[in-house]
Order: sequence, then C-alpha cells, then structure tokens
Amino acid sequence: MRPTFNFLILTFTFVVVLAFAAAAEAQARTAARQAPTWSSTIGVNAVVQTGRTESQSFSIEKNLEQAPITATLSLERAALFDISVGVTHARSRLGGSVSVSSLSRNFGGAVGAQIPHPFFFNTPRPVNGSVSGLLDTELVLHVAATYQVWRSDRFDLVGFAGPSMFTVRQDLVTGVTYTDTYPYDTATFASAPTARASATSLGFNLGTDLTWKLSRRVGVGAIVRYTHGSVTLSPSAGNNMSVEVGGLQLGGGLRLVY
Amino acid sequence: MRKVPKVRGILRVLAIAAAIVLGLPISSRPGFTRFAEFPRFTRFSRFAEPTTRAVEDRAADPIVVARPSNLVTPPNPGNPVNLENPASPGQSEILANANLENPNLGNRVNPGNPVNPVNPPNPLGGLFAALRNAASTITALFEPRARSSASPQTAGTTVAATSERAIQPWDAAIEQMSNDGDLRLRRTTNDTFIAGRAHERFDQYYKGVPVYGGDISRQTDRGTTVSVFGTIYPNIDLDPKPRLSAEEVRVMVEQAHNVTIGPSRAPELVVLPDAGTYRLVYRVTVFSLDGATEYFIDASSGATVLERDALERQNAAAIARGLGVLGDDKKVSVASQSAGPYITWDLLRPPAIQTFDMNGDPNKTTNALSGVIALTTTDLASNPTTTWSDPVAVDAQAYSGLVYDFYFKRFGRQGLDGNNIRLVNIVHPASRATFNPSTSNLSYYINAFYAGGGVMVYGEGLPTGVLASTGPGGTFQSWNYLAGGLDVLAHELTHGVTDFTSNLIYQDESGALNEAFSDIMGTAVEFYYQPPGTGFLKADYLIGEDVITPGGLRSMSDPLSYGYPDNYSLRKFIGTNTDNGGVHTNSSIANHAYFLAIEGGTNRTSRLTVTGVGQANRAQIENVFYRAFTQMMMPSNATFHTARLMTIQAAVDLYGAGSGPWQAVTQAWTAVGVN
Repeated sequence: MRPTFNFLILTFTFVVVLAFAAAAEAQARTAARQAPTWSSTIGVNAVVQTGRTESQSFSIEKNLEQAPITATLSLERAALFDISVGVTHARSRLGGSVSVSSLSRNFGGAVGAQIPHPFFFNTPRPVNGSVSGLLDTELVLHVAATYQVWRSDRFDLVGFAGPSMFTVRQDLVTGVTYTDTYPYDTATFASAPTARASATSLGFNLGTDLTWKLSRRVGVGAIVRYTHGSVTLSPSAGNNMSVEVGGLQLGGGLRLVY
Repeated sequence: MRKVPKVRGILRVLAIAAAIVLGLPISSRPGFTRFAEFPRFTRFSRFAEPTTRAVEDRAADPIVVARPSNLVTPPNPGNPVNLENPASPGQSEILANANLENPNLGNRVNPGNPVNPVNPPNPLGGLFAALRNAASTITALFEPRARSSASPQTAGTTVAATSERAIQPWDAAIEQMSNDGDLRLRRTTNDTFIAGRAHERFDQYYKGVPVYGGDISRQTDRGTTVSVFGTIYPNIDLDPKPRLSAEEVRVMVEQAHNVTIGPSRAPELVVLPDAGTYRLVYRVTVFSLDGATEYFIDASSGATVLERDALERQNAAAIARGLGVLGDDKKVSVASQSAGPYITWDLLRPPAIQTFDMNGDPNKTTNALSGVIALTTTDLASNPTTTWSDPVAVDAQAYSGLVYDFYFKRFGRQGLDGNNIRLVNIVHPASRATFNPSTSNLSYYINAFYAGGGVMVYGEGLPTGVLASTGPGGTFQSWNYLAGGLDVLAHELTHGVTDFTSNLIYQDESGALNEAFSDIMGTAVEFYYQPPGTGFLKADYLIGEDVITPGGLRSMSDPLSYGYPDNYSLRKFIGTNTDNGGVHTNSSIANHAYFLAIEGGTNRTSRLTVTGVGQANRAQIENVFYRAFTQMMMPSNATFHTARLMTIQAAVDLYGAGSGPWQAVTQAWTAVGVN
C-alpha cells in the first residue's frame, strides 16, 4: 500500500516534533525547577476520522426533459493530521486551544440516471455506473475552551469544546455521459463528469485529550474529538448539495509541555 | 360558340344545387369524393360544379361536397352476387387453380407438373410450352374486359409454387431465363423472421426491355427453394427498338398535357401486356395541378395506350384545429444549423427524414414532384427555436419517424427500401386560404399520397366550414391536416414499402391489395403506439378517423357500414377505370380479413365466423401479412387468391401449420369469400 501524502506529512512532522521534544527535554533538565502559572502544550496527532455516505441528487436537461441523476458517494474513514496549541491556567485549570486538522481522501460511488428518450415524453431510460478517484479535502480550524479535568505527575486529562471552521473541497458528480444507438430505447452508462467544489462554514468540536507525560516536557497523548459542520457545495449551476462534514475522530501523538 | 356550354353549365349547377338542397342523389357524374376514386382529369370539375357555386349562392352556408350516388350505395349484404362483375369470382378461382395445383388445368400452365405428358419435368421446354398454353388457357377463361385500356393482369401466367414438385422446374426455369437475360435479379433480401431464409426478386425482361408486371419472387432456405410466386408473360414477339425516342415522348406528353417533366421523370421504355398481346410503350408519370397520372405511350405511334391515376392515395380529409393539430405534445427529431433556424431534418434515425414546407404554393409542389425544381434545405420546415409552431410539420416529421421505428422494431425493416432510403414529407402543398374547388388540385387538400422515391405528400385539408360528404352513408365530414393522422402517414409510407417490395400494380385486385396492405400497416402502427379505444389518438380499426371526422374513411371491422364490400362476392369496379378498378373500394375485403384474423367475429355477408388470435397476439397477424406482402415478395399482379395463399404460407412459415395464426388467417380469408 502506497503511503499517502497525509501519512508522509504526518511522519515528517512527527520526526520534527520529536526532535523539538528532545531539545525541550534537555533544556528542562538544566533549568531551575519552578511552579508555572500557565502551561502550554503543543500536540501533534495522527487521527482517524469516521467515514460518511453522501447522497447527491440533481437533474439536468436532456432531450427536452429533466434527467434525474443520483449519486451515492462513499467517503471511507480517513487519517488526518492534527496539530494543536493550548494553554492552561494552573490554578483554575481553565484554558484554551487552537488546532488545525487536515484530511485528504479519495472516494467513489455509484451513479444512476434516468435519461429521457429522444422521441417520446415520459419514457426514461435508466443508466447505472460508478465513479471513482474523487478527492475530498477538509481543512478545519478548531478553537476550544479547555478544562483540565484531571491532573497528576504523569497524566493530564483535558476536556474541550468550541467552534470549528471547516474549509471543504470535494469532487461531486455534475452529469452523466451515456451511449445510445437507434432506436434509443436503451442507453448505456459511459461516465460521470465531476467538478470540484469548495465551501467554508462554521461548526463545532468537543472532546477530550489525555496526556501521559514521559518527562516534564514530553509526553504522548490520545485524543477523542467529535466535530461537525455543514457546508453547501455547488459543483455546477443548480446542482447544490449540503454536505455534513467532520465526524468522530480518534488519534494520538506527541505532546510538548512548557 | 361558347354560350351553349356555358348555359348548360349554369343549368347543370342549378340542377345539382337543387339536388343538394333537396337531398337527392347526384348520379349524372360518377366520379368525385372517395378521393382515390376520382378518375383523373374530370374529377375536379365534378367536385366543383355541384358545390362551390351552389354554396356561393347560399352565402354563409358551409360548402358541402355531394357524394356521387354510385359511390354511396352500399353493397347489399344479403346479396352475395356481385351484379357488376358476375363472372369475376369464378374466373379468378379458375385462374388460380390453373396455375397452382389443379391437376387438369394445371397441366397446361404448370411447367413442372410431372403427370403431364406434354410438359415433362424438363423445365425449359415445359416452361415455355406451359407459358404458351397458359396464355391461351387464360384467354379462353376470361371474357373480354369492358374497358378498353390495357391491363397487365389479363395475360400473365401466375406462378405459385410451394411444393417440391412444382418448385423444381421453376428453379431451373429461373436459372435458364436469368442466363438468357429474360430475368434479372432486382434484389435479394434476407429474411428477418426466419434465419437462413432469403427472398429474391427477379424482373422479367424482353430483349433488354423490362416487361411491365412481369416478376418472380423466390424464397430460399439456405439455398433450397421454398416457394416461387410471380407472373411471367409468355410469347412476347415484338421489335424492342422504339421508333420514338424517350425525349420525343417527353416533349409529346408535355405538350399534350401542358406539364413539365423533369429529368428524374424521364419516360421509361417497357413492354406492356395488353389484352393478350404486347406493346412496346413508354411509361411516364406526370404531376400537375390536376394530380398525377401515369401514361403508357406507344413507342411507335405515340398514342396513349393506357393512362391511370398514379397517386397511391390515402382517402382522407380534414378541418384545421389550429396549433397542436390534435393537441398532443410530441417530440420531433430535427436539426440545428450553425446559422439559421432549426430545420425538420431527422439526424437521429438511420435514414434522413425531412419535412419540406411548400408554404401553400401548389405550383412549387407540382414542380418539385415533377423533378422540375430541386428542393433544398431552405425549403425544409423551420423554426427559430425548438418549440415548433407549425403542428403540421410537427406531425409529419414525428409520425414519419414513428412509422420508420415501427417497421424497424416490429419487422427489422430498415426503411421503405430496406436500405434506409431518405424519407421526404411534403406539407402545405397548397393553401387553405386559396382553396377553390373549381381550380385547386384536390390531391393537395383532401388527400395524401405516396409520390414514389420515398416522397409523401400530405394534403392541407379543407378550410373551416367546408365539409365533404365522404362519411358513412354520405354523411358530411371535416378534413383536418392529413399529416395529423398517424395511420394516414403509416398508410402512405407503406405504399413506399410496397413500391420497393411487391410493387403491387395499382389496378384492380393487385391495387386493392396494395391499398389494403397500407391500411393494415396503418392500423398496426396505431395499435403499436396508441391505446385501444375510440376517439382521438386511440387505436381502432377506422382509417383516418383522427383527421377525417367524424368516423374516418373506412372501417376494417365493418366495411359494409361505410359502403365498402366485406366479401369478395361484393367487389366492385374490377376492370373499370373507376377507382383504378376499385383499389380503395375492394381493399376492404382484405382489410376485413385482417381484422377478423385478429379480433375474430362473423362476416356479415357470408355469416362465417372466425376465431381470431386476439389482441394480445395481434403481432402474429401483422407478421404474417408483412411477410406475405413484403418478404415473400408477393407478385405485382397478385390477386386476392394469391394473397390468401401467401399469407397462409407465411403463417405456416412463422407459426406452423395448424397454429392459431394459420387457423385465423385461413378462416378469415374464407369468411370474406376469398378461397
């Protein structure tokens, strides 16, 4: 299986962060021990987000009639790269965080259409086929208020919630091409043209993050986050589709604590 | 000098007008109305005299067209004897038997009958001896015909060989005659119903000149002959070199009839069978404002040997209803141009289907049909948008496409000629605004016709308020645009199919079969596309009922109610010039057989009952008739008896002897008196 671009980025980032973590740890060992008022955390996570199924339905004009087209698109679960920065007030345990996550995945689905007959009204000809190699990218900025639910020498458990801004770019079906020959009573699916649409909208996120501090500065963590947003994509005129983005995310990664 | 006829004319008009007002039959002139029946040159004056002037006198009253009494009189259902042709049925029966299996008469005409010592199986010797004998036999069997015009149906030897014994010598004869140049293979078509079968059509020639009406069709099954049908004219002995050239004849005809004959209508030299002998003649078809006439001109003297109406017509008429014709929304396959409006040129179907708009100019129509002018894309019906505004062009274009589709889907046929010949519709051949029954070419108003070469012309109908007494019992009917009738278009296009297959001669019984086949296919198309029922856009057994209202022109289910014969014993006009020997009138006999074979029922004249195959199986009967009339290539001189034999053979081929279709077809022909 070829590594995806996301995976490579994630790996590269992980290595870089690991290097920073090692340096921070070395610095921490030499610094005087003080009790900080604020602490900050940088987190780098590899996350898996649940998949979703989208139902696209629209129509185009063919042979003087509307040709309804439906597409059932299967966006499987995908890995995403997430980096976050957070601060926590030691006494109140309150804080905030900003994180950015990026997802990119290929997907496909089934396409069906009812193609009007060239010679007769109300005599549609069904065609069915599939489409593949479509691309979905989601770049999300999460802003959250945090609360340190539990804290010990080794573990920090933080809950968070806040708004998210989704920027989605996704390929969607814009039509159907087919072949038919005289007497045109049947038609055969040929392909489904697609177009890339993008949209931005506001959603929300909530979840929890558990950090296991391997040292004063470095730890590893796990994150569970649910995020949701709704965008309207318009790949072609009159072809608008509301897409529910986000989902349940589960992942883990490095933590650098200052 | 001219006052006497003028006074006579006025008196005549007054008399006829009075007859109309009093409801009396107008019998002094036997022509007009059932539009296929009006014989050529005098028909329009017949139409005009009793009508227009009378109406003009009556100011705002609707113009009514009187129905000649000789046509409105229905045959007496209870009297099986045809008083006009008392000897005809028997004659035909004998002729058929003589050429088929009758052991006595057949010995003289069947070339291969092995029991005949005079005609041993040696095919060629037997053939020509048989042909010589056949001529004398047939001459002896038939009384001279009443009409003076020649008819190729009077002297040919009919071939109908379906048994191995009868086929073998004909196979040899065909080969020998082909080698000698006396037969030429016109076309071979593969059977779309039965794999491995093919149908060959041979035309008879005499020293390089085609013999009019002489042709043979041979059905083979992987090289083995299954049947041979046709007509061969024996003992031809004439000089094939004409004294007159085709150009001289063209000029003669142009001058004599004040017409123009274009290059595509050049006279064709043929041998015409004529009352037991033969003439070398030129055959030429002329279109004029009077209609179309086929002339046979003696190639030596220039005398007119035979003339007849050349239009294979749909007897129909209509009244305009404005846009939408019948109000149905339909799709039309047209073409867009890089610059300019959309045009009625079907580019989706295999053949080009085009609808030309003559814009109501009858002279242009005539010139186009005569080949004097060539129509171009600028003559096509056009519209600036895809929402067409002319319902006539819409229907002509759409319906002709549907008829093509029907033939393709039902029979696998690719167009009229089986090779996707271009279909040309001509609409608005004349203008309702300038309609004048005295001077207008009625064929451009109250008729539709196949003009040959894939060209169909659809009449304009009659102006609002003008009625014609063409309905059952002489009732008045409105005539809408004829392009608005699906069965009308199917009827005319089927004439084209016939033209390229059986080429049934448009005279007497073969002409009636020609008409019948068009009616049959017209009805089949209706049932293919429309739901059964009554009223507009419903499939039924009436002909032209959507555009000739009320009631249409003919009824296949009950011909007698429309004044048409429902039984062979009641056939009319055979051997006369009226309706080309009753081609429309007698078509109802075969039409009714078709109806009975599907629906079943009792023939009113014979009282015989038929068990039909039923609506659900109507395609079986359609297949049978299509096969007999086209694929088996019914001979051009076919009689009703031949049609019976060939349809039964077709039923056997397709469904087997003893099958439901076989039984239905056999019973149906018997019920209508064709044995």
